[in-house]
Amino acid sequence: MNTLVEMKSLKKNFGGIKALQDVDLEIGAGEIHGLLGENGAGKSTLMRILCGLEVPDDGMIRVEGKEVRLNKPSDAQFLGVGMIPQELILIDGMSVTENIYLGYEIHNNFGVLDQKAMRARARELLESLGSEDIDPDMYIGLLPKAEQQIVAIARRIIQGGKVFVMDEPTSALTEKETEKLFKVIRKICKEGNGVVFISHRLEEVLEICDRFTILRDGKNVISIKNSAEIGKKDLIAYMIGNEIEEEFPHTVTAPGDRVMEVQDLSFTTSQGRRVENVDFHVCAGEVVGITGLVGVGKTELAQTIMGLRKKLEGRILIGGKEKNINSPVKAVRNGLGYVTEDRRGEGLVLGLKSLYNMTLGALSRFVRGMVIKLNYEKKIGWHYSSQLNMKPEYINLEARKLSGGNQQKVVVIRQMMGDSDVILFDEPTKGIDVGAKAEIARLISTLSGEQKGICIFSSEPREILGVSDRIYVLNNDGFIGPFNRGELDYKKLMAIEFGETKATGVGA
Amino acid sequence: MNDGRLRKIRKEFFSSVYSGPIIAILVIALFLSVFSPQFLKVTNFVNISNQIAINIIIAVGMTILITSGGIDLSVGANVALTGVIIALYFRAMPEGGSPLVGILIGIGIGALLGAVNGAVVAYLKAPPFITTLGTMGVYRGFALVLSGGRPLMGINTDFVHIFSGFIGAVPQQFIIALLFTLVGAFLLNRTSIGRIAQCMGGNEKTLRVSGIPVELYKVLMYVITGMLAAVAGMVLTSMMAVAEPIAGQFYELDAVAVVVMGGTQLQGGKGTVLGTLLGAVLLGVVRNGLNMLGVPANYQQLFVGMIIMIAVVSGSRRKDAVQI
Repeated sequence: MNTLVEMKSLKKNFGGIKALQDVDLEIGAGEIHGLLGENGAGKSTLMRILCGLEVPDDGMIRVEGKEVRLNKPSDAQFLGVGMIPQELILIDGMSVTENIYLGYEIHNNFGVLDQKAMRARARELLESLGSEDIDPDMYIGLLPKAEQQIVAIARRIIQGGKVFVMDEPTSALTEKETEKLFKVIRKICKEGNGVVFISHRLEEVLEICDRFTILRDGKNVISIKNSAEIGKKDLIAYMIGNEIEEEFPHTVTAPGDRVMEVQDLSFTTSQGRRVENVDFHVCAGEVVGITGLVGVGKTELAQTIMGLRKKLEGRILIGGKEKNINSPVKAVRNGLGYVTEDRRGEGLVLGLKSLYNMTLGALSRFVRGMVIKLNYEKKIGWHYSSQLNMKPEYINLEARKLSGGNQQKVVVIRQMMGDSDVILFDEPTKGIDVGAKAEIARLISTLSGEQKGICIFSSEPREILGVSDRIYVLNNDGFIGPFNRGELDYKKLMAIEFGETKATGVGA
Repeated sequence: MNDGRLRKIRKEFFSSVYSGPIIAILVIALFLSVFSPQFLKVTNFVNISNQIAINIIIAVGMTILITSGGIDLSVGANVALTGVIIALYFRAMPEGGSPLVGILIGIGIGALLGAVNGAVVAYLKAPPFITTLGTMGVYRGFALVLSGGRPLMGINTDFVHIFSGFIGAVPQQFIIALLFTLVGAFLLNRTSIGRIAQCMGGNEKTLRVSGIPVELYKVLMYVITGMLAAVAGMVLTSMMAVAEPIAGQFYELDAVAVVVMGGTQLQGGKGTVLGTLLGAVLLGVVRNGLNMLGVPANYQQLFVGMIIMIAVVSGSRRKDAVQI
């Protein structure tokens, strides 16, 4: 088998974080290559390098035997390497044919677009992919997700694609649609192309891939051929290795009354999947962890509770009473606070002083009439930032100038200044360094000590296991739990997240 | 030691947003005082302050609105409509009406016109530029229809004396403009409304997820702008002692120009009312200078446009447009 792509000893650091350390990957012609690993193992970084979106610090890349440098996406595309993202590259208001030929249009002798030829060839191409039922004249926006992806693949073929990188292509698809997509993937590989397939759904990976490369903490674990002997358990074992539980500061407090209760909640994820029967509660002084793989709907759950996303069914009780929370204004009025996942996009006003970012949720604390007591505001800002080991001069800097960890502290301080009874943290330690992580964990613990109910939405298993009093898991089968503290370890948690164990929790 | 302090002051001055307009004003003033004997006369300064008062009042509101990420192109039409409605009230009253009621009507109209803009932008999610371009036409239309297209005389004289005239040698309307500048600066920098305006222009989503009623505050920003435009309308009506339905044309553009010349970011998030004042002075001095030098009217447009371009381009090249 010819090798299409060979990546050797790739290194990539982000700040102090080693995202990739000597990672190798080989993609053969006609091969469907599964790239596996938990969140943060380095899969995305590796693929971004392959597609020219990121330049490695060190290492070598060969495409069809020739050493290449991929400085920008067009370099990779020129060599036939490209990603099939789920959205973005297709234009809803254009037809299937127009999308397939976008930027590669066929012209006739007069320099005018040759619609007929393009339509005929598009039909031929779709037929060759076994998707003759896709109408080349149909608007993309009207097609189901799976067919859109097939069109995206067809588009890459027209552009001369040889290596197709697919990151979670099936996450929004039904079983039937997935089958259809798989048929296409197998077809393009038969022609000697290569596919890198990234998915958290291990059954699918076992079904379609010829070979696996597994990463853990930015390093290669193993590269193996798929065979009947390999099962989900083996893959999970390779992905997580021998985990040592990390220490997270955690003070156990006696939980008080139920401050928030979520009953039979259902909502749609941003990929259009419906999640149903979400049931959990949070007591005062308690940390509840809600976990699951990336894209499973944790953020959407938090948004639904905060009234930022439409609730399809179900009830939310605050302090035992049902509340109709249909906007964040109402959520905050009912004592909910929210720390968003997207710090820079939603959490912070980047051009504003950090101090003002801290106080904007609790301005009423600092005003007399309408006038802000600036000195008092500054004093309180100093008080909190020194508590969190932030340099005092930081509060006068624009939020954009702070590091990720300090930015997160600013957002957390905003919640500390407010008087919420329940605080929802969405990925509170994402993208911040280890020291700041521990500090944020300590803070969360402090907040629960002040009898606030804390709800953490995180896909970081160590964090969830470390800080939560009770854990719920969201996976593709539904909402599972509760599990009390100590009931789960890393392996058990991963097994549930990947849907390996059909566990139903005991406890509370 | 003294040298170090001086250097620090100099550094602070040049890195502040105010340095651009101040230097421009000084350079142009110096140039004019050399080439035009009339420029340095007191009567000329009275003239300039008289001419820029209305622009300042409108632009103060516009500064707060632009800081919050909005814009209002209907302020010029608002000026005219406010004047017309107040005139209609005075004319309808047998005794000529009361100036206080006139003021209340004016402020009320301004608030209402602003609220309409704000409600369409905030609740119907229409882009502010197009929304207020539309209401500009609507408000102007109302002014024309209500007045029958003719200037309305018969403005209450007490009312006229409140908004125009002189205190010593200083035009009353200029004092009013300075007063509103101070109020506007205070509002933007020291109150929760101003803080929320800055947040809204910087990142509206942050306010939303923090549970702040963004829509309500957005309407409020337009109401403030509308009320200030109405004040400008009352000043203009008093200065001319007549309400013109076609008054105030292009006032919105002058206001936006001096806001941006003063260092406020058009994309929102950062604004300075004092900068706007300087911007208005700069524009006023330029217009006055062109008159003093006897530049033909057709060329004046051209120069004013170029000055605005230079001011805006040099302002946007600065790294941190405003240090508050």
